[in-house]
Formats: sequence, C-alpha cells, structure tokens
Amino acid sequence: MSNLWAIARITFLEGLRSRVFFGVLVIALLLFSSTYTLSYLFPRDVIKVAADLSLGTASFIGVILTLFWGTQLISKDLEKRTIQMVLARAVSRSEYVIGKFLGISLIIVSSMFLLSGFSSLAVFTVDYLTSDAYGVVHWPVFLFSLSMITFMLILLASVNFLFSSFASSSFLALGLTLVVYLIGQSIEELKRFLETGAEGSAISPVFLKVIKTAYYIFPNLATFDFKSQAAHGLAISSSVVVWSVLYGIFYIGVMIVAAALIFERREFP
Amino acid sequence: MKAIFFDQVTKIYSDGFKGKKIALDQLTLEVHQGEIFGFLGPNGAGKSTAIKILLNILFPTSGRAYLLGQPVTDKTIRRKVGYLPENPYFYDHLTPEELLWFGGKTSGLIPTQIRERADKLLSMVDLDHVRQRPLRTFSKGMVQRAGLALALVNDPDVVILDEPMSGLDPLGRKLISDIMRKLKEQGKTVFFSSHILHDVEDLCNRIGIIVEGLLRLTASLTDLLSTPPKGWRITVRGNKEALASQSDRASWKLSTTGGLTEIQAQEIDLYKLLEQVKRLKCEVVAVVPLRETLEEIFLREIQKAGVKPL
Repeated sequence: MSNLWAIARITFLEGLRSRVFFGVLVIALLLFSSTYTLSYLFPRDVIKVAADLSLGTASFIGVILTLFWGTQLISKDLEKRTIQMVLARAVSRSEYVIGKFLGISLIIVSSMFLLSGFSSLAVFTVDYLTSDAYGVVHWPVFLFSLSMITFMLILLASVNFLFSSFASSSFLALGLTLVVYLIGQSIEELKRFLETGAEGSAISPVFLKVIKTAYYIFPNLATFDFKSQAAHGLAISSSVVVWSVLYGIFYIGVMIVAAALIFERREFP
Repeated sequence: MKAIFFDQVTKIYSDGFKGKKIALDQLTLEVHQGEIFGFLGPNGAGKSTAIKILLNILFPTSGRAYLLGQPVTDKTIRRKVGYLPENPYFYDHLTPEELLWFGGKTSGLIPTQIRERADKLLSMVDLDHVRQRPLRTFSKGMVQRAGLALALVNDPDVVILDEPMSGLDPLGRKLISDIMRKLKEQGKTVFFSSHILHDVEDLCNRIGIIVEGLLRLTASLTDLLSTPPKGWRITVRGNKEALASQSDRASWKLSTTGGLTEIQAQEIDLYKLLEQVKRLKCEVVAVVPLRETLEEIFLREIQKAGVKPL
C-alpha cells in the first residue's frame, strides 16, 4: 500500500506541475466564459444550451488532458527510462502500474474538480442573468453528469494504460486510445441503429456480428453520458447509475489487470 | 554471505531480423560483503545488462542472480540495495526532497527516518541549498548527485553504481570517490562499472573485466598490481654525457628535463642499477618501479578477445 501511495503521489505531483496542464486550463476558462454568449444564440433554450455546452466543454478538455497525461506520464517513463529508477526500488511491476494509474486518476479527479467549478460557474452565471422562463438548472443531475464524465475519463486513462504497456511508441498508444474513444462514443448508437433502425434494409449478418462483438470489446462510453438528461432535467434511475458504475469499475479492472500482466513480463533495457 | 552472485547468467537479446545477440555469456561472478568491486569492460561489453539483471529490470535468458543470498526476483531484497543508473533521468518537476521521500517510502522508512536521511544525504552531496528546486533546472552533475542521494536514502548494504563518474567534472568525481570510500569504511558492498581506470585503481578491492559478454578476468587489485617490477625509472642529477654513453651499452631510455635526467631501464635488479648510476657520479633523486598498469591489463584483455574500440 505504501508503494502504491508513493508512486501515485509522485505521478500526481509531476502531472499537476506540468505547464501544459495550466495552458489547457486557461483555454478551458476561455471556452467556459464564451458559454454565456453562445447560449444566447438559442433564445428559447438558453439554460439547456448552457448546461449542454458546459458539460461538453468539460468533457472535451477532460479527454485532451487525459490523453496528454497518458502519453506524458507513462510513455515518458518508458522512453526516458525513468521506470528503471522506480523498479530498482522495492517495487513490483504491478505496483508500478496500479500506483501510476492511481496517480493519473487523482490528476483527472483534481482537474475535473476545477473544470466542474468553471462549468458550474458558467451555467450559474447564465442562470442568474436569465429569467426562469428560459428554463432552470437541474443541479443534482448536472453535477452527477460531471462526475460521470470524470469516471469515463478514468476509464479512458485505463485504456491508454493498456496500450502504453505494449505499444512501442507514445504516439501509437495515443492513436489507439483515440480510436477506442471515438468507437466507444458511438458503438451503442451504431448497434441500436443496426438492430432496430435499419430493419428491412440489407445489412450483412457478418457486419452485424462484427458490430455486436465490438460492442462487447470496446468500452461503451455512452453509458457515462448524461449530458442530455442534465440539460433537460430528466430523472436518472438508480439502476442506471449502479449499472454504469459497475460497468466502469469492471472495465477499468480488466484494463489495469491486463496492463499489469503485460508489464510483469516486460523488460526495460 | 555473498553480497552479489551471478550463477551462470546468460542474456540473449533478439536483434530483429539480424538474429540474436549474446549480451552475457554464462556469467559467474561473486562479490563479497564489504568489497568495492569494479566491473570493467569496453562499450557494449554487457556491464549494464548484468547490472539490470541484478535489479530485475531485465530477466536472464538462463542462469540466476542473487543479492544478499536472495534471488533478485524477490522485490523485498531491493530495500537493502541502492542503485544509480548511468545518465539518470528523474521526474522533471520533482524536487530532490520529494525524490528522496519516494526512495525512502518505497524502502519502508517512516517519515522521520526519511527526513533524517534526506537532511544528511542532501548536505553530503551538496544539494542542501537546492532541495526544493525542480530537478529539471539541475545540471548533469547535480542530477547525478541527486541520484546518488536517492541510491543511499535507505542506507543500503549493497550499492550498485552504473558508470557513476561519467560526464562529471573533477570536483564531482572527487565527491563520488569520497562517498565510495566512506561506504567502504562503513563495510558496505559497492559494485560499480566504470571506464575511468584511475578511479577503479584508486577505489577497488577487486575487479572483473568483461568483454563481449564473457568475463575474462577477476582478480584482487593488490594481486594484479603488486607483481614484481619489470624495470625501474630513476631520476638523477648530473653527468649527462656519461649517462648518454652508458645508455647505449645498457639499453636505457633517457629523457632530460632541466638539470634532471630520467632513466628508464628494463634491468630488474635495482641494486645493480643503482651501482651503475653511482659509478657515473650521479645523484639519485627518485626511484619508481615499472609495473603493468591497470590500463595495460585492461587493454591486453580486450586485445586478447580481438575487440576493436568503438
């Protein structure tokens, strides 16, 4: 436990002090400050648009930061051979993987905490300056949606971790994670469309099987997307929440165990 | 107990389409506790590979390695080991203090012990004044010293240093040599690889010479360098003409600087040599035995293996 905390802490400190982190946060601040102007382009749904826009911005910036940290903090360890310094201590490869992942998760949680603050402030400002006739903010759903974005980002970091554990370069790991992210965002929709919407049309059964298999292999990131519920103030059932969380924990677990198993066999010349 | 033991360790790297490269070939080597062992070899000889196998960073293709009697696969043994890599690269944004906290924490030290050790070591490596400055602002020598402090934070029984002197200025080299001497006084085992033979000659009890993955020689430095002299270098004053005529007869090599003449003679009998010099009415200023140096031994072993310098 002590080793995990030691690795997580230095990872957290290294990530948090990176200049890129501050740069991205400044961009985020600018994006959030434009929420007010952009929301008024849709006069009838100002609050809905503001909520949707803020959550979308938080998610977008979060993905950029997660991919950046995945590349920076894991691949740099391998490329610059800092990992040798860590493994030369009384640390196992699995502890390295789990500790590093915990550190990156801590950075994601901290930065999402900041981004959530910015995004809530943006929505609050729009809400404050707008009459109730334009809608109200459903804060519990809005905040829940932000926490689920954070959870999705941690899952994405675990995917990046798995790719970094065997990819020969940081760009390859980054590229593969990005592909998984894009597939994960749309796989549920695509599967549903092929199963229901495309009835009657000539879809190859093989293609349908491929999509169904992909659905079980790739992370279904739409599970963590509650942006429209937050914008429209729709209630979220507790079973959906429990299912999403369990699914996320299971997927993260599989990714990290696989990454640890690969690392256990890997050499660092 | 053996501090370090390589038991027939072979390491073969797969070299892509080119085939396989044997980095270590049946390496069997023992280093005893309290010894300073110099591991010598040209570039690519297998020194760093052997060190990384000791730290379980690389796995041997066959054979086993042990640290303090335990297999190197047992991570807990590394609590008693310190390691300084060649060209260390640490986390850019961490400070020396945080680096040592990490080292102490992963060695099972409690916070007060970490603080005590960090204070002592940072002042020993002269980084006390920059203990809260990020490592990315450090020069190569400073990073090397921070690495040495990290290697020693757990007060290890075995210290493994991979080219600790490389790229350091004379002051940095002296600091590291002094620390190694201190470790020797404390009865610690130091295993280090180096190209700088003068430092090895100065510090080691024993050496091993490895060439192309094969251990060519292991010997005590005293045994190696206290062989009978193969000649003498005598510095004398006066009678240069007589010395010149004698040098032709006795095959001496002479070199003159100012009023002093240096005689390099292959004659083994010193008394006979001094008698000859005395007869020429010269004043003897200094006498130095001519022995095979570590550099000559090192080069001889490399030449025997037929390796050309990289």
